[in-house]
Amino acid sequence: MQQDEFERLLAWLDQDRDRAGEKYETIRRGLIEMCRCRGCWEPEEVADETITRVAGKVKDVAPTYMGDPARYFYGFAKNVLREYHRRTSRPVPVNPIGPADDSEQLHMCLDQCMELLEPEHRELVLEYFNKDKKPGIDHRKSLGQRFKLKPEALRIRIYRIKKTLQPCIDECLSRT
Amino acid sequence: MRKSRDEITLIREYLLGRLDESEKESLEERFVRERDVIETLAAVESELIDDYVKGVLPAAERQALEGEVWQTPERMAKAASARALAEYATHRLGTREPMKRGGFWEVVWARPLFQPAIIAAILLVTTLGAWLAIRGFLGRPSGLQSEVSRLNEPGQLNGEPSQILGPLRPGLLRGETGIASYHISNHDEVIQIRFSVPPPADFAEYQIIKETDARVEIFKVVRPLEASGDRELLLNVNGRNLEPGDHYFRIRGISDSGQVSEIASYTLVITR
Repeated sequence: MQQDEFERLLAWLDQDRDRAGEKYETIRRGLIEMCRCRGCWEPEEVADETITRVAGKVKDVAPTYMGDPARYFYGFAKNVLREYHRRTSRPVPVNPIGPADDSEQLHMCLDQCMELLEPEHRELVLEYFNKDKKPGIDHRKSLGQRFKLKPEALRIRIYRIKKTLQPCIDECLSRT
Repeated sequence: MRKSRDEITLIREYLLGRLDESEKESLEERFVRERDVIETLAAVESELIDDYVKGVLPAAERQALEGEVWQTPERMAKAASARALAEYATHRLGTREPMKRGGFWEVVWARPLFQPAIIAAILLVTTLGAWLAIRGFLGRPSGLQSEVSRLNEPGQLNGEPSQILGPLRPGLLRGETGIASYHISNHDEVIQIRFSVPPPADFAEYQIIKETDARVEIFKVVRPLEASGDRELLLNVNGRNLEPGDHYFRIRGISDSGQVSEIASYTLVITR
């Protein structure tokens, strides 16, 4: 993408450069998620390709376009994704999600990374994943009561704890 | 968009591929305009994967997660990570000492007068507990795991199985015509369950995993059976241990190098 195209793109998103930058990030992230959820293996590439192509068209489109530019990106992304699916042939999946990995190395890394969590977060994530507890809605409800979290908050909390843990585990596994 | 549904339900339905095209596009448009919806999306996806790994998803939802759009390296990695966490948490909580809370017990332990009494009480409880555990272990009939391990030994099977279930096909949906439902009598001693293994099926060893709410049991099967062009895995279980209701099985293949691959999932309904 040329610098002048990028500048025009930002100006189209918002006259305020900071807000334009935020909108740019939101659009990029949203495109990545959309592609990811549609089974794309390289969502960042498709999102960036979309943005590059849209940037090349802003000069012609912006003067007459009505509404939120984000919608234009979305519409464009669907076509780019369609092209992507046409040109890539993926291997037939033989493994339903997630190969099991219960190696000692992984457990050791989990030991280390768990210790970096706040005690309450550690307790929460261990209880949440404890397979000895009957899982399901009742288990979540009792966890929510115990940790004083509403269902939505519990979901987000678990997600954030996992998000915190993952880089630590990846880093530990690459070291050992 | 159906306004009666809350956002979590809407996102969940989206991830399960249940929204019609206009609902789907309406939600996806929000991805590029609203920053908050992305975190909710990620959290709901994460929860779905956790539920899949814990084996608590209904069969239809489970099958949706085994569809093509979920078979991306990134989502597979997330599932592997959730599975590892579940194994770790169960192991750790099963073996750990009580969590330190710094409350009542620390205060009591800090008083020298109470220490001998606490030690004596711990010794008494430990001894009693150990005695009860040993007594219970020796007196209790063997569980399904050990029962099946014994029954699966070719030389140990006394006669033919009294009933053969299957061959089961992978990915059966509860409530649909393809559901495998079997009636077994209370007196059946050895029930053989046959699993049809989809291609490619060339592993050094197979594992059949039976999941219930209470536990996960893993049975090793060394050799698959070739039957009229199909490849089948046979599992012999004691009929008394197949409770009425839904039973979920997964099959894993283990390559010569030790690489573990999930192959297929099966649903079986038992009635008596």
